Amino acid sequence: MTATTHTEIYRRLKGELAPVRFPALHLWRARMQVAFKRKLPLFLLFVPPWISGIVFSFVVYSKFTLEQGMGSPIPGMGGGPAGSMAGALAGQLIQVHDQIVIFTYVSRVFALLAIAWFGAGLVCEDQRAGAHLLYFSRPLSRLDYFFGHFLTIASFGAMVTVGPVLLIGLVAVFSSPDYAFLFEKWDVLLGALAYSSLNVFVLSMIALGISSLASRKSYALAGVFAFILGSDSLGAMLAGTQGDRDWSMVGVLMNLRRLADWMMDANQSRFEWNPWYSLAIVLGLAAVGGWLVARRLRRLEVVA
Amino acid sequence: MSDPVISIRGLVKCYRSVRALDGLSLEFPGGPVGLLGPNGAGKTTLIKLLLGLIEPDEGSARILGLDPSSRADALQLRQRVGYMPESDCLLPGMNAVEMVTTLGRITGLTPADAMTRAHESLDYVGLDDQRYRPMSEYSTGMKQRVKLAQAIAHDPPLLLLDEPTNGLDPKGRRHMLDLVHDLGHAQGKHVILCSHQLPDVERTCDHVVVLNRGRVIESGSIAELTRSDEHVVRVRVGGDEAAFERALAAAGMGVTRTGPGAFRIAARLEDADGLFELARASGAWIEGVEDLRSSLEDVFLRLLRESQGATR
Repeated sequence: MTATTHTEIYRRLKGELAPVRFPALHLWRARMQVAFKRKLPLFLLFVPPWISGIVFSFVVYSKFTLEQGMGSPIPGMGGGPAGSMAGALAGQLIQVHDQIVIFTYVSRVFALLAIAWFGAGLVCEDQRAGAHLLYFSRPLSRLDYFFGHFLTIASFGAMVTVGPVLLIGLVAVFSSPDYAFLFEKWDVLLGALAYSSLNVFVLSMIALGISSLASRKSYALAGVFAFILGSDSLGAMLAGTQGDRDWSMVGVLMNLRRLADWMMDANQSRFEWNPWYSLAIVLGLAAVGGWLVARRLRRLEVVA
Repeated sequence: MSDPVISIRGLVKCYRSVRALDGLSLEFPGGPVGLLGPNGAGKTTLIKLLLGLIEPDEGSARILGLDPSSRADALQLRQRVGYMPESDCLLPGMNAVEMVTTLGRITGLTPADAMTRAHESLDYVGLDDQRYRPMSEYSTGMKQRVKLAQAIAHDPPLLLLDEPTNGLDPKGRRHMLDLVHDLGHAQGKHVILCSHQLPDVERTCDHVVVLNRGRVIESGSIAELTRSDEHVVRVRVGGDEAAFERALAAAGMGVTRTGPGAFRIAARLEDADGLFELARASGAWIEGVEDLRSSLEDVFLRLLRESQGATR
């Protein structure tokens, strides 16, 4: 071949090909870069949860700093300043606990929006664009592909749930006297983080599963909302018509709310059913999502 | 002939009742090889097997010394093979540089090498500033070039090119064939070119493997295959053409007049001296003699006819 310009010359690779470690991370990084190209969805989906997180953090901060010494004394500690301060602190810890629980309720919606938007198109758009033909002709296994996409979707979910929860928790720890929140309510912090992670995991698996069934992102997006919000509506309707709140167990978000109560030692939702049922239901849904993805990936790999 | 790059023994692959590969045994020599066959011949199944994407029901294969049916070898193999798929493919939301870089990283290039190689490969295929545009805006020709660029980005010794000239205009097709020819001949790559465009294969490859119904029906160098078995020469003569024709018939040579002063004669090129003698004796003179070779298309169609006749 005669080169028409100085550039059309084949050049040998001067470096070396190394064994690929964690190819899922390369895939994750690439997908994150693509997602960060479009600023409007990022703005719309991330600003509200972080503003909420900052507002809740301020509320938590104000509980500890602005209301110092405004509590009632704890019975048995006398009416002196020590008893009054201890009583105030106990009240503040409980109020902050409640704030964190309320935020985790709110963050479910943010997580759903972010995960649905960024995750619904991952598998189906790859299939539509023929990306699987390129991926699976590389040293990338189906598991790597799955993890690459799961990490992408979970990262966005974590950014709107785990991140703000961490912020609120850190503000609570550092603004409480002598880090009292860390020592007295560490289980709430741990529960909030565990619940946020579970929330992201379950919603991500459902979104990926539906994405692997759809042929384009808009269908997958509609499918995710229809499944999650539809199940909740159905649960609420059944609970209303049957007069039994346990019917709410049909809804995905209702189960997550029950788990939030359980994991953070609260009962704001007033659901009474056994939380292990909810855990089994959401993990079962996640497993079904994983199975759907695995089934689709096997086909995509063979088609490649 | 150099050592085989791919060696296949008794490969069988069935999809339910369909035997896509039916005891396939063959060896691919080094250099550019055309893989031919009608639709459903088993070409795509063979490529999937070579990439380790599917496992054979029976038989074995070694590609560049690796066994694609072993998961570890298959992943290693994909580092050493560049695959250009037939259908459109791109990574959603990326431009050409990002796509080739990402695929380079997944193949095992360092970040710096992946970026360098992306630009070098895109330079080589002739994609200039367009490399920064979203790929969804690319023409078919540009997409084909990016597909080739991603296949060569990690500088693999073996390239599997599936219909690289699909959908290209004549100029784009010529450019693509120039690239494939360069890779196969000047750059020393082992190229397996799947194509329905037989002139493309004839132009870029030295060897061909012809598949039909999951079996090899012919394998060999194009030069040998296109050499006419009947040893026919085309002769242009001046002078007394009719006397020359009669003399040929009298000598028992099969002769067909193809035009004024033009004949097809069943004879070897090496026996042209005899033709000159006959012409001189019959008052004619020979203006030109050339060996009449079959085109690859003639050979392909004949092989298919024979193969279908044999299976009936």
